[in-house]
Amino acid sequence: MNISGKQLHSTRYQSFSDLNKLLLSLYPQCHPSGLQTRRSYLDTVDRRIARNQWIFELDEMQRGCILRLRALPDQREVVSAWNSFSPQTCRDLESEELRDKLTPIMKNRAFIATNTFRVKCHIFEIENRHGKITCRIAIERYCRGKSPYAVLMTVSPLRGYEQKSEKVTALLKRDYQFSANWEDCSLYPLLHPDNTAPCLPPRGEFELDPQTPAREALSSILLYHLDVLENNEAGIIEDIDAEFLHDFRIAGRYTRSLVSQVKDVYPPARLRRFMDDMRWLSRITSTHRDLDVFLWDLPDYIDIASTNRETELEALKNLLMKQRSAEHRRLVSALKSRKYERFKQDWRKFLEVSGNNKSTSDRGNAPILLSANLAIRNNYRKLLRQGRKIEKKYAYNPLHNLRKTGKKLRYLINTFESLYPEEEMARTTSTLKKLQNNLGKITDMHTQRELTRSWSKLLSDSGEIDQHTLDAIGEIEKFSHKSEKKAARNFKRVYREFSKAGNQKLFTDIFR
Amino acid sequence: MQVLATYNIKGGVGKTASAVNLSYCAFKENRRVLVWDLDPQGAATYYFRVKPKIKAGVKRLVSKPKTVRDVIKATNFDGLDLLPADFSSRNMDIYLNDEKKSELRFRKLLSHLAPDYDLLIIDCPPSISLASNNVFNACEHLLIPTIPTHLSFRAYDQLKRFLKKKNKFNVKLLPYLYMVDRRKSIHKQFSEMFPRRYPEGLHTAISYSSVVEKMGIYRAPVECFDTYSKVTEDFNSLWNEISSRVFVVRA
Repeated sequence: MNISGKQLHSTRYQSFSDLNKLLLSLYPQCHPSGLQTRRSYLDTVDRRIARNQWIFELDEMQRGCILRLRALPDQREVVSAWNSFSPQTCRDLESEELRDKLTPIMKNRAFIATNTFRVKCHIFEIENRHGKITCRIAIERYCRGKSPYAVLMTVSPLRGYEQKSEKVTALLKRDYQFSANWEDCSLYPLLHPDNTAPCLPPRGEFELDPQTPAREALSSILLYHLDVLENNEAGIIEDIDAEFLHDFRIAGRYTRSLVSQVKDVYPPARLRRFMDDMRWLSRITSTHRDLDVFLWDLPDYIDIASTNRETELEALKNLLMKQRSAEHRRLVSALKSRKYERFKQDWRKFLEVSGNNKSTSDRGNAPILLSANLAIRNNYRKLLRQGRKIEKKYAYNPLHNLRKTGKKLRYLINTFESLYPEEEMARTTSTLKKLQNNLGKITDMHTQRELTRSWSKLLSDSGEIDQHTLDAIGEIEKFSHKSEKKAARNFKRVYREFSKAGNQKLFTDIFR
Repeated sequence: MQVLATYNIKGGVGKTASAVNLSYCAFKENRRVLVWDLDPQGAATYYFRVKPKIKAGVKRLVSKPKTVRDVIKATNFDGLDLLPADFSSRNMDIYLNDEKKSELRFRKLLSHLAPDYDLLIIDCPPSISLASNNVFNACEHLLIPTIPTHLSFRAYDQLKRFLKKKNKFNVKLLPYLYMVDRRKSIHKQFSEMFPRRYPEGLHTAISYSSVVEKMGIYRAPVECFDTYSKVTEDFNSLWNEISSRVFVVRA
């Protein structure tokens, strides 16, 4: 039974038996029935649902679960739906309404149970004179272990009989001082977003003083990215969701990019070892990430491939899952290795010392604004040069390099944006973003095509699949190729938009 | 959303009892179920203890299909809802005739409910009319309770001829035997004839039992007040057979 509705609580009636007695006195003809469930509050590890002022409940039932999305502060029910199993990600939500609400804020992140309670319910069914139930009231005792944590009452309206539940709620509020104010509820401290631990976003927002010496500014930024790396380790090792690895890799890319583009701040000889380690981290995470992305997109490919391809692509999915498990084991081993531990310790020490002490290079001691300008300008010019060559003659490899240059430029702009006027920066990032999106589409589809081809060959050589599966994989390859070509046709137009004179002037004016 | 309808030109053959009991069987499987009581008698509505009234009557429902969600009522079974009967549905044909695409109004109405339910069962009145044409266009399967007698079989044959002649309805017919009393030799004879004559029919038969009549006293599906009766078992078996045909699992 789904007891969904307004949750009320009272300082006057705080125990299970007090509430029971009250309801029996108000509705003596009711015979309450009992129900027990495990209720979990779901969110992402970085509390995206709570930060969106929602609560997401899961009640475990015999053959599935009931999911409820409530809006704060009045915990009004937004959506309530049945799911035949506990969802891990938004993809597992069977209710389209829930998927539509949660996917934009959760993206690919997994649900984790932030709090779980045993909930004992007594359900009172209020009937009219025809024996028709018009309202349900549930008294819920939340327990953790053996101790009761909170007692709440839920007034659950029935469709077509909403007026009755409103009357009951009004009566309880008016005559018995019940409140629907979430902030007064004893569950509030556990579930409010302000009371949850913050999570480091991979990008970071740095408020930089233009006059800060480059070594000091850059070191603090790189230390932040090192914190992000460490922050995501546990999530990768426990394999909670794919976003931990994604954020880990982004932090690594930012680090490599900033160190290589913001030149002459640190002694190159000292940097070499750390950059080798960062490249090693990139290599050991790359295949794992490719597999995560493809497996996430596989349901969409099943739809695209044609009908009834689910079983045919099962062999491919099994192969990829096996490969992913192997990659995951390798990655976990690397993250637990002494090499990785040493890298982190030494890198952190290096950055702390460099940040606090005068640099041997003039550039390191000069204001960060100068280094930022130089790095961004150089990258921008490189982007234009590379783009012009591809504009004249399209080829994939140069385009892939163009994308990498574009990424480095974006990382620089993202990192140093506080040094520049907000409005102009918004315009530069907007044009760059369009170019990046187009390049990303081309290269992602190209990679996808190559991967499906290699997996197809692997499966074919192993003798594990039949022609139907090969055909199904072939359709995915065709789709990727078609998407790549479509995006490639748009490249010239997008690049021209990016490189037009007005934009070039904007870049040179800002990053003088 | 799968749409079924209990239908027969003859009255008193078990359409309402079938709709109510089969919907309960589906509800037990955690499906989101809606019963639409199209019969102005409102027997299904009575069984579910709901007032047989729709705000502004069925005329508004037909002319403004989007308002259908506003008139649905929850039953005492959480997950089983009812679109109640209203006496104004005796004039359904008149209201339908006033609308454009008069044979497709129900389909349009039901399209607004598709996201909310897995199964809709329509309890139809005993008639052949514009309203029943709407039902034929809106549903995928017609459940046809058939008493094992000559006149019942004749009525089914009439329906088959009508649908074949019109040749525009894609609805599948699922006749099944109802109120079978094996003590009567004629029931026995027609029960044996049934699968040969109607291979499209369902194999499960609902036995005659006075327990079904007690639904009017208890105002609930049979399983709620007589869990172990033969009729309960029969309806569960019938539902299993129907759902295996209706809910096709994607290979």
